[in-house]
Amino acid sequence: MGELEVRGVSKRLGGHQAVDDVSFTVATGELFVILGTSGSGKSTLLRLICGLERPDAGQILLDGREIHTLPPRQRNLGMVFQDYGLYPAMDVRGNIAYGLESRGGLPKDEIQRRVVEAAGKLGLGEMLGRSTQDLSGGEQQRVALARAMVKDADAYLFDEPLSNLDPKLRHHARRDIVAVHREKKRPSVYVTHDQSEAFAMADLVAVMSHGRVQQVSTPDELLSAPANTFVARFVGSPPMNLVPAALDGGVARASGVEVPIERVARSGSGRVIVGFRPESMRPAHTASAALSGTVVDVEEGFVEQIVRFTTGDGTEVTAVLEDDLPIGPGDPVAFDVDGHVHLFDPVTEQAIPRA
Amino acid sequence: MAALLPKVGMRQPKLRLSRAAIAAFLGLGVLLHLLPFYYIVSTSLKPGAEVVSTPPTFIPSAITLDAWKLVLQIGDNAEIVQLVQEPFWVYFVNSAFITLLAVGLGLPVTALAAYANSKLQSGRSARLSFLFFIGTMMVPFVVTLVPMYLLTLNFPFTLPDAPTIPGTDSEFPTLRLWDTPWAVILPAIFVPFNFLLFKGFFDTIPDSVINAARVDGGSELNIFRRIVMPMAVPVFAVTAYMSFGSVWDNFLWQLVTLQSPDKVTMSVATYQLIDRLSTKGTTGGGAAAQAEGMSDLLNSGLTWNGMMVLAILQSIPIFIAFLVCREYLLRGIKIRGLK
Repeated sequence: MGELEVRGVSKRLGGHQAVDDVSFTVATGELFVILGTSGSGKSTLLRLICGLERPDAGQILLDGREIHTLPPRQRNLGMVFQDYGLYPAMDVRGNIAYGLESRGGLPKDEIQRRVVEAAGKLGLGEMLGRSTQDLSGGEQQRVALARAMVKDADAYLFDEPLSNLDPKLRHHARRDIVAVHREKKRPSVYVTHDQSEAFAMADLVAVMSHGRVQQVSTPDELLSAPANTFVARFVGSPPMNLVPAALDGGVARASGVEVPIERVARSGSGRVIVGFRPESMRPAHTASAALSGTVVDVEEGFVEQIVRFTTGDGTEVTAVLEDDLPIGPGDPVAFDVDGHVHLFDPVTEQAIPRA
Repeated sequence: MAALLPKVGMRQPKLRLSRAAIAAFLGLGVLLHLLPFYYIVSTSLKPGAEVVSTPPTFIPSAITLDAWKLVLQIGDNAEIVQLVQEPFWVYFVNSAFITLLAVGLGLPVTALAAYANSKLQSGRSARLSFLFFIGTMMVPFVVTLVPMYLLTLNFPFTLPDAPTIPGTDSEFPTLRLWDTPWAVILPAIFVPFNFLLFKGFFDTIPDSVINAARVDGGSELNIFRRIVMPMAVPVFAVTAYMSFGSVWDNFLWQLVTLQSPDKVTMSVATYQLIDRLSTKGTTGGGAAAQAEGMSDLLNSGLTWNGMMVLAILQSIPIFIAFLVCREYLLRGIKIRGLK
C-alpha cells in the first residue's frame, strides 16, 4: 500500500514546457531521487506533487487516490523546502507543531509529546523555545526536517534540502534525512542537482532534462547502462567519454580512434557514438592503440591523474589514471579501453541495446 | 546626532563647535514645535478676560480651572446652550465610536486585501488590482467630495434625489447614510496608503514560508492569522495609528456628512463653537440679545480658553494611540525574520 504514482504529468510555465509527460512510481518505503540540472523541471514536478502547481495534464495518485485536484493541505504530505520556509514569528516548538495543529484532531498533549519526540531525534530538544532566527543553517534545516517528520504524512518530499548547507553539514544532514525516511517507511521523493547525494541516498534515480525523465534506474545502472547520451554525459565525474565513429566490422573507427566492439550492433547509418568511462582507460604503447591524440591538459588529483586529450578529428577525451604519466600539454598519448564500451545511435542519441 | 559626527576626534575644537551648533539648531526646532502646545495649555488656564486681552500674555497672570469646569459642563449650563447644544462627552463618544469602528473594520479589510494581492494573486491580475487600489490615491479628496456627499444621500446613487423606477412613480429604494456615523465609517474602511504599506511588507515574506504552511495543512485564513499576522505586528501598529489619527482628526468630511447636534464629532463641534464665538452676535436674533448673550458667556468665562480645553481633550486620544502603537511597533521589530 501507499505508493506514489505520477502518470503522464505535464505542465507549461510561461512560454516553455517545464514538465513534459512524466510518469513514474515510487513504492512505499522507497527513496526516489530526481536528479537534474537547474531548469530541468525537477522542482516544478515536486511542486505539482505537493499541490503548489496544478498539472495541465496527467494524474498524481497517492495510495490509489487522486491527489492532483486537491489543495496542498488535503494531500497529507511532509515536505522540506530548499530555503526551509520556517515561520519567523514562531519558536522552534511552534514551527514543528503548526502542521499538527492546523490539521486538527489531535489533543494538545499528544501534539506536545510528538513535537518533543521529533525534536529529540534530531537533536533539537534544547532549542524548542528558541526563535528560529537565532539558529544556524544546519539547525534550521533540522527544524524543517522535524516539521516534516512530526506528521504521519502519506509521502515525504524533499526539495534540494541540503543545497544551502556547507559541505561538512551536508553529510550529517543526509544521514538525518535517510534515517527519517527509513523510520517512516513511506514513499519519499528527493530532488537534487547533486549526483553524489543522489548516488549516496537513492533506491531509484530519475534523471530529468528539459522536463522529461531521461532514465529511471538504480544508481549503479545509471553508470553501467546509461539509456542515452544525455545521461551518459550527465552522470559521473568526469562523465563518460563519447566519441563519434564509423562501424567497420568489429571496430569503431575515426581519426585516431580504433575501438574494438564486442558485438557488431545494428546501426542503419553505419555510424555510432562510442562511449566508455574515463576510469577504464589504460596507457598503451603499441601503435595500434584504441585511442591516440594530443594532450590538452593534465590535472593532478589527490590520488588520480586526469588527462584530457584530443583525437585526430578534435574530439575531446578524458582519462582518469591511477598512476601518473610523465606528460604535459602537447605530448602525444595513446590509450586502450579496458572495460565496457557503450554504443549510442548518433541520430536518436539512444543507447543501442546489446545484441 | 551621533551619526552626524564621528565618534573619534571629538576633542578637536572644530568638531566640538559644530556639535554645539547642531545641538542649538535642533533645540530651536524642538522649541518651535513645543511653543503652540505651551500656548494651548497656558491659555486654557487663563481667566476669561485675560484671553482676549491685547497684547496676549505669555505667562498667565492667574491660573484658574474655570474653562475646564465650564467645558466639562457644557450642555448642563443654560447660558451656553445656544452655543453648544450637547454635553461635551456626547461629541467625544461620537468621535470614539466612529474612529474605533473605522479602524476595527478597516485594518482587517485593508490587510486582507493587501495579502490577497501580494500572495494569492499573480501576474496580470495582481498588477491590475494593485493599480486599481492604488489609483484611488491619485484622485484628490476635494474632487470626490461632492459626489461622495451625494452618494451618502441616496446610496447607491450619486444624485441629489433618488431616480424613479421607469414606468412608475415610486423611487428606487435607497440607503440614506447621510447624518449617520456610517457616512464617516464606510469610506474610511479601505485606506489605500495602508494598503500600500501592508502590500510592501507582505511582498517581503518569502513565498516558501507560505508554501511550507500550505503543505503543512494550513488553510489560507489560518496561515494569515497564525503565520503572517504575528510577523506583521509593527505594520499593524503603524497603520492602526495612522488610521486612528486620520479618522479622529478628520474634519471636512465629517462636517459635510454630520448635521444633527447629537451626532457631530469632536472636531465638528469644536469648529462650530469657534464659528459661533467668532461671529458672535452677527447672525440671527436681535443684535442686542446676541451681545447680551455674549457678555454672559464672557462673564461665565467661556472664550478661547474653552477652545483650548477642547483642543487638549481632542489631542489626548491621539497621544494615547501613539503610545500604544509605539509599544507594539517596538515589540514587533524584535520579531525579525526577514532575510
